[in-house]
Amino acid sequence: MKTLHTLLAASVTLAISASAVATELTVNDVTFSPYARVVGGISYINHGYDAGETGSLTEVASNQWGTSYFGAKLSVKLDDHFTGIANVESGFGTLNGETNVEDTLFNRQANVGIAHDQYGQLTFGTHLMLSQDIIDMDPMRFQSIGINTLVNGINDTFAENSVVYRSANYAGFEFAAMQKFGGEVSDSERAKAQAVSLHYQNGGLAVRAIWQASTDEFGRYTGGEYYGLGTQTQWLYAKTAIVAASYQLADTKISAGFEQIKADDAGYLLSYTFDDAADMGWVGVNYQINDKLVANAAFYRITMSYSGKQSNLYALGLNYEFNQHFTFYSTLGYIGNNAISSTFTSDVGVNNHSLDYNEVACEDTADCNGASQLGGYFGVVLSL
Amino acid sequence: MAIHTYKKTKLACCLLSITALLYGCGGSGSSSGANTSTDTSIPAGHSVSDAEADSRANSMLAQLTLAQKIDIVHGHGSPVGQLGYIGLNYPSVPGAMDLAVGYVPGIDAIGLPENNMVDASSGVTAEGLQATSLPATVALASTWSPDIAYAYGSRIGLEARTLGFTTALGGGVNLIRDPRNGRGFEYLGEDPILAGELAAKRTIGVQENKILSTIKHFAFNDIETNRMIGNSVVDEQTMRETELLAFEIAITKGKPAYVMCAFNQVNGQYACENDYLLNQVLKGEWGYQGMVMSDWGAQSSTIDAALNGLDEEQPGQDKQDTEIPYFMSLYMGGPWFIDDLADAVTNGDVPLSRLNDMVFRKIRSMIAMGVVDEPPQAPGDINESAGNVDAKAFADASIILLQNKVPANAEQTSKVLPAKAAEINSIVVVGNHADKGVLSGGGSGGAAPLIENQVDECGQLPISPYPSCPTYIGVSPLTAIEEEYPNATVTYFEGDDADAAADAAANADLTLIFAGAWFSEGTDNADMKLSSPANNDTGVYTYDQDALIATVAAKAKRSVVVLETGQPVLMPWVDKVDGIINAWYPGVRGAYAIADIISGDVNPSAKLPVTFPKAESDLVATSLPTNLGTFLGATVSIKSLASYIKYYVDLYLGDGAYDYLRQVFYTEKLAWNGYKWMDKNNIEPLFAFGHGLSYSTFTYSDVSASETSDGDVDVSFTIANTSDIDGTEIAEVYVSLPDNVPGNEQPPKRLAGFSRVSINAHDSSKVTVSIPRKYISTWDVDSQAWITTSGSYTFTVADTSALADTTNVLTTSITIN
Repeated sequence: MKTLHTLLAASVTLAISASAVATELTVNDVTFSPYARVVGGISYINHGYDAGETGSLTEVASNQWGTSYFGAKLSVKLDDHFTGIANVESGFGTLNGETNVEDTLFNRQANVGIAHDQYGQLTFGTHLMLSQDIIDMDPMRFQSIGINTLVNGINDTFAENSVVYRSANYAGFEFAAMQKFGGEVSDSERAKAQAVSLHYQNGGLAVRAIWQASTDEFGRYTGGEYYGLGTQTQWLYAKTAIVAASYQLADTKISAGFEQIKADDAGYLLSYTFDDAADMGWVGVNYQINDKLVANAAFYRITMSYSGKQSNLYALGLNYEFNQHFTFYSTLGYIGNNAISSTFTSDVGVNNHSLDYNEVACEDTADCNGASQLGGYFGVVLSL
Repeated sequence: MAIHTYKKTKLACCLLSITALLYGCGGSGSSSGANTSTDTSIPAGHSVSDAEADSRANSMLAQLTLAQKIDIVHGHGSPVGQLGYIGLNYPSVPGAMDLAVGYVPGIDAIGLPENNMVDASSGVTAEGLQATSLPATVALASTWSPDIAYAYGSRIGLEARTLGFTTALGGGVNLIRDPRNGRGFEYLGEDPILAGELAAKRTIGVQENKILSTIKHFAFNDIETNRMIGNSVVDEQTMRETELLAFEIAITKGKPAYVMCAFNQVNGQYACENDYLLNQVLKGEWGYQGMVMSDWGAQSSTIDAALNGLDEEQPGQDKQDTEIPYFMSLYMGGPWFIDDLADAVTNGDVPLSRLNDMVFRKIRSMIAMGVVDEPPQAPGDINESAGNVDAKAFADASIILLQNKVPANAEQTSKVLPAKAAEINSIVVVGNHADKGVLSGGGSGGAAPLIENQVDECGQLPISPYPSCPTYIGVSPLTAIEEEYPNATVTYFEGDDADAAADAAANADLTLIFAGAWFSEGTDNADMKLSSPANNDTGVYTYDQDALIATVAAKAKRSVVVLETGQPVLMPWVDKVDGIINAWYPGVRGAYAIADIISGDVNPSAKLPVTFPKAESDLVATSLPTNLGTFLGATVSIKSLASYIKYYVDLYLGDGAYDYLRQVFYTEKLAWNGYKWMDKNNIEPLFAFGHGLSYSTFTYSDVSASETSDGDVDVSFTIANTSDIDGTEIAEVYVSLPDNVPGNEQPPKRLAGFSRVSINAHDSSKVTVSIPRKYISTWDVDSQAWITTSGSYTFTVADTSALADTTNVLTTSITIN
């Protein structure tokens, strides 16, 4: 559970990965570019809940701001246009030093392919799902208090056994497509996924649209690990459509977006009815106070049509970049959940989203329905 | 008639076996055709029709080799044993889930999934998986609600499925014949119709989630003492009209994938190789199409078991030569269905058609429940909050208000309960580890604690899937009371110092005295008293709870006893306390239900499914059988040591002593222990079967009865809620048969139907209870059929079986020809 928790809290972008590259070593035309990041601090939440007990929790902030990781890029120039590329990356947490996925060496990325300066790149292996592209439209940039909190990490997923194509930039447009293969027909583990991502940039305006569909091992859109789109556990098997835009004006970046999630097969053939659709909208702002200090603020709201669950997330944060290798961070969040009708609670569970989407909130163990939660974290990041 | 049908079946099997042998062991010798149903409707809880399941199963069966068939008619061990299950290490089982208590592999070649089994009487009990611990099964019976039984089963099925299991072991319907029975909390009370109807719905709820459910323990495993060597001696009519009637209703309506046969003998033949029970009644007359599995270690032979109806050995072992620890080998016996069965089939002692039938039943059951089309999934997480909601709802509906008097020591004219939060400023909570959690039963039917046993004095495993120590789970009553009464001062006393608690009670507005009796599989409680150092040596109980209650209640201004027990207990202090709530083992959210009922936030609605006698001398069996295992110095009697036990018993007590002492004679015949026994013998119970109070008041009127065109009887009446409080009432319909009914003497009345109905304040409800003809019939041994004797049938509608104690008694009679 802790391993999964860590995995799901992972948050980083390709852009950050790329910018993090600080060292290169070239041997016989092969360029080796290692990178790494270690994140740690202190986190606090009130109204935590586990195994029938409720209370506050203070612990080392491990992945809340973003996962720790190490990785490397390799490239080799093939001719004037083509380059052979590879990327391996493994995430881990400072809370206990565990890797984000047990028994997997490169749990975030392990892919290899070819890139063309005009036609884009094609890679094979394990990738971040394209839904992670939405990070540049998230005011909180994939922190655990951010775009993934209320949608239980639906965007924060990975695709092994996949092929990804990413285009070059044409007149401000960039396009990406992903196919995650499943097993053979006779293989019970035949989860598949497809995704496309379109990005347009014109001056300070950026627009992104993503469509992604991911099935469970039986080829169905069943939502979370089992309970449809429930408060607990990560949402994995659903169709997701996202549109978002941002505008950079001087030191201020404004972002807004909408995400719709559908898990049409939630509770497939079971006697219970689960939430199978959710809509989330968000707005936020990033303000560059000075060269080193950035302030972040965001508001997210999700509604579930079947149960009537509605949750609001308010987030505030500050990042202070001491230099390119060392950053201080602090983030504060408050989540408010409505209480849903008791008619639905036996099926879908009560509404008690937590600031960490693997957990739930509860103020009064007699009734966790509509519990709120306040929390935050601060710490440091050291990156290579 | 049934017996003729059975003979035809055996003849068909013989013919098919000859045909099958002509095909050899390679396997196209299926009993195709004979096993094909034409029923295309989908039974409740199943996923495909019988016709489809049969057709596909025949096709799959035809592709199997002898070795493959043998491989799936025996369990492959008890995987959870490797974790120290009940403290005994069992070898790991290749391919199985570590937390399974039983395992049968699948066969990839035909798409048959593996079968990981888990104990799940009142919620899945698997170590550390956060499954929801529901109120005990006997508490479910207190709801008298088929709808709640369905929801209860559905919660179990859903969580078992979520956790990746295939089979949920549970569904005990043995009738309570002795309140000291260590497993009584796993059962559904003393009446066959109540138990059968609820077990059927529970089964449907489980199986709707693509989980194979069991009904157990078939049959007459009504006491734990000597359970592996005992012999229940019961005449046929008594069998059919008592416990077998409960099984008949549960099995024919619920259609479980599994029936688990019991440890004991029935009329001289082990239940797992009992031709009458398994072949003639279960598979013959009732037409059962599922599998018979042995209780863990209940099998005693290969050929007799196979021929007489057993379909699956449990727990078995992976291979013939798998090394089993000596004690477990002694305890479980076997293996019976590996090499020995293969040899028996090869040399003709067991026809191949019979092995095919065993395999066919397995395949068709797994198809029928949907697990072939939708195999078990990788384990997921339990939705704790959804489980908690159900656990609380079930507890609300199952906790019984037994007594509610005007307080003797307080100046008030109203009854002690409900104790409104606005009127209570100080509360004393005493005893039964109410600061830690609520009590749960022990053994395979117990609840696995969410984190660990919150009162662990016995040194068992931190998280035991098979509690061998009184286990306290969930939210503590003290916490729940504090949250329910936020403005009151709540003080807790352990109970060791009764005088200190009594002094505090004298000054408190309300005193809640918690008391418990722990029951566990494998042994019976020595007496019906609350647990104390005198009858429980676990160290969890350090004082005499009866004395504590008497001492504290004597001084308390307002005293309410909250019982947590798996079976009826004696109450020598009953006249000294103002209120009594029986919470049974209320599950992980039971404390909140207790608090809500005390405050009035929940109006109690449950009624007793079992009689509380005043004394053990009022029972059918006034004392427990002699525990013969003690002659070997053991706490239980192990079947494989029966010859040694017999030697020493006869040595000390004389020849024939062993064979006499292991008998359990059902001499009461139809006057089953409880209300039927007490009615017949004019014994006044302490609290009667069907008794339970409400904060509402109800008035019954306008009864009538009529026979329907298909021979059933409809009994109609009106219930009015004459109070200012919305409430739920359980109405009971008893039937008294004509005097000229042949066979054994009938009890003065027997339950024929019931209805649980919610009625708003000052409203009324017209209720009709439909009574199947079988429920007013008797079993005729001569004709081997249910018969209805012509004559006058009297139907009594009441709110309790103690008719002299209530004004709500309506009577009507009709003549049935």
